Amino acid sequence: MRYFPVLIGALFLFAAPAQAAHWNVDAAHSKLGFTVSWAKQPFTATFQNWKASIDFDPANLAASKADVTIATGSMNSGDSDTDASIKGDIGFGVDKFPTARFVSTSFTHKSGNDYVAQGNLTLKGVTKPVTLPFTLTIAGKQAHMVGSASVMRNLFGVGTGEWAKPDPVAWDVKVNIDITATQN
Amino acid sequence: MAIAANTRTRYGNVAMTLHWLIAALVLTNLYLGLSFDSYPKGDPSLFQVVQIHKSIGLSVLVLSLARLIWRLVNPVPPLPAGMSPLLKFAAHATHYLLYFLIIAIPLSGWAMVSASRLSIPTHYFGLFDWPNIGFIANMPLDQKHGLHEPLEAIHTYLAWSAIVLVVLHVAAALYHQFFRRDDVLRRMFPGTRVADKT
Repeated sequence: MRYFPVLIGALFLFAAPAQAAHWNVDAAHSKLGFTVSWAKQPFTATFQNWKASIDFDPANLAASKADVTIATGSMNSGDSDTDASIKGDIGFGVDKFPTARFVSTSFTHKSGNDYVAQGNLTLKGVTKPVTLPFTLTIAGKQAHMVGSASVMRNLFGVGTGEWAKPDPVAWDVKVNIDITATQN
Repeated sequence: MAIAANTRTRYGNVAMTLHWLIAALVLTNLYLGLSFDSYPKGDPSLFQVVQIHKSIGLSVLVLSLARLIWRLVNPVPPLPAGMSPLLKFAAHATHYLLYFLIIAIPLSGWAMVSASRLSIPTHYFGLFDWPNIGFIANMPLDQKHGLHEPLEAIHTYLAWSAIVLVVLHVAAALYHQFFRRDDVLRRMFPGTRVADKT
């Protein structure tokens, strides 16, 4: 039994997946927002306050993970009146649901720089799977990721009453993400 | 007793119905309009109240246009002979301004809704969708949305003018009834008797 601790240690060593590299998001050069067709015109807003924890290794997608937390109340379209309505109960309901969260469940490599992240999005208290295709270019210690996920807002109850129907505000919301990250 | 058309001494049924109906709708809408600020933005019940406000306002517009036409083809009873020229002028001015407001306030509201960024359709009492004013709704976005705030300001100022004028109008009616003791208020009241002094 004197080898028992070594055995346990070895078990942990092999059981734990290898760590994927951790990336630090460069907030000044990153953007998260959405675009939705509103009265047949694009309506675009960005989130001013969000953070992402990203471990990613193209050579080890199984160990890669992303966890993004978004302050829904930080959305900004440039029109404070409209934003106030969107933040209200009829939209995000930021008083009751101040954060939205995306947690990846898997990554797949498509071709070249193209990847697809699968994950769960929790928005307004509802969790649903979301697919996020993205392109990734890594140059040394810096990575640039651009992706867009199609989120059906009706599945999350974002938009009730006057906004429950797909008109004037479409159901299909494009969530756009553009991240520049660096590795230590 | 009372008949549809106005007579020399009193208002007819049509004029009285339109007057009191529009009065009730205008007072309701002034109250609803003032209540908007007490709702948090994005509160679903605010959107419902706004829909009712829009439906009432558009009803006021239609009824006021009908009333204006009715007035043009059907002269109103003259003011009592004993009123001074200044008082007569004040009475006529208040009435014309009230006519202007019951048409201009719903029109400005309809225009601001047509320019709104929220683009929420007007459900007329849930019966059908009332269209936006085409030439405003079809403007380029920047131009259209730029119009919304000035139109909202105009709508609000006109509504406050209406509150002042309604107070003046009611005070004048009470002044006629209790101080001048003439038939001015009675002739707009259904079921009252008005002596023919002419």
